[in-house]
Amino acid sequence: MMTNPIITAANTFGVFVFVFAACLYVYWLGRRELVFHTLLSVTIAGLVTIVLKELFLTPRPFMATGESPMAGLAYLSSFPSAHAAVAFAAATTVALHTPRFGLFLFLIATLIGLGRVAADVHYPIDIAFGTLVGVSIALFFENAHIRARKRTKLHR
Amino acid sequence: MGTKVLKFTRTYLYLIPVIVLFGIGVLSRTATSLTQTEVSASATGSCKSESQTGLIDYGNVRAMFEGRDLELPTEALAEDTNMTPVLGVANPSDRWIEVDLSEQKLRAWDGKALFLETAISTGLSHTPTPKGEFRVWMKLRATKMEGGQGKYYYYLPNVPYVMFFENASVPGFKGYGLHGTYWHSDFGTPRSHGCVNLPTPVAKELYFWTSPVLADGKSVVRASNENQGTRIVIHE
Repeated sequence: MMTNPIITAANTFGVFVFVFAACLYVYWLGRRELVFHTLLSVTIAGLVTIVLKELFLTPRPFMATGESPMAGLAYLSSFPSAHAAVAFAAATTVALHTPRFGLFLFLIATLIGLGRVAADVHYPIDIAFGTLVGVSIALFFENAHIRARKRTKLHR
Repeated sequence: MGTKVLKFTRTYLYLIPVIVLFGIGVLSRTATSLTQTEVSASATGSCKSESQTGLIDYGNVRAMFEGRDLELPTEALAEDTNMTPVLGVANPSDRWIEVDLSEQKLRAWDGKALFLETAISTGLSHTPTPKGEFRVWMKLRATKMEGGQGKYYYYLPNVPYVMFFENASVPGFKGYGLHGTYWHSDFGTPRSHGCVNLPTPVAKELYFWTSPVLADGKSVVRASNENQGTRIVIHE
């Protein structure tokens, strides 16, 4: 495989750019609350996957082949993918409020996941479960938030 | 009231996948730690040896590495006939070994003259080879190395021509060294648990080239003030 610094950087840090850009756009739309919401889901999804990684301790695919991978941030265990969890947590949260932009984010998040597989730092199953964790955490915060807001309105 | 409870539980239903994954993770982790008790040495990422006699264990010729079961090649078990320390041009204390991590190359220098250069395999990103200046503190003709967890589990009897090195910040018991390799031949790419993997014939040459000087017929030697170890410089 060819090593291209731009592709490697995209596979490594693309997810941060993705979250940042999504937040920026949502902020520009005037949905400040959604920005906090996205950042919360993203942070928790990232932390949860790191804990899960520590539990499962599976080797990265590039360790089996012995070739150097085309992405960084691959020091922890392989399963599940934190990149996928973070990207999909952001995409889900945004999609629940602005469906069309959300759909676009889902496409990019899928690309991020595929990129990690192509870069030899993840197996497809890591991406699948990372996505599952990201989406469920985003849905959880969404629902918890709605409930909390209803309760405060009731008291008001 | 009923719908309120339902709504309350429905929020938490979304967490079920995460909780289930967490549970499976805890169970699998407990299972691996129960089945493998001797993992403490490898958790820090090194290739600590199990025995320090240096003698070849001819009764132990099957190895496990990355899930593969393999038989030891005769090369690793061959008797060294008539090996005396290789005498170079320079004084033995002028000899030093350079390990280039980014190039995955090892160069042995006799003063300013290159004694040999070879492709090597150093530590993987999660078990890196330490950088710095070291000295060989023990040489073993053969030793058993065991460790790792799960898919990483390795059991390697009779690792040939081992030269352990240490310095003030990386003490000897951490178990970093140079040694021959019979379980893979991907020299030029990182592959190890922290040690420097060499092709076995090269390891053999270095083993008899480096100090501390091995006494005739012995298969183990430790460095001392009179018999100092060769300097090893590991850099990026």
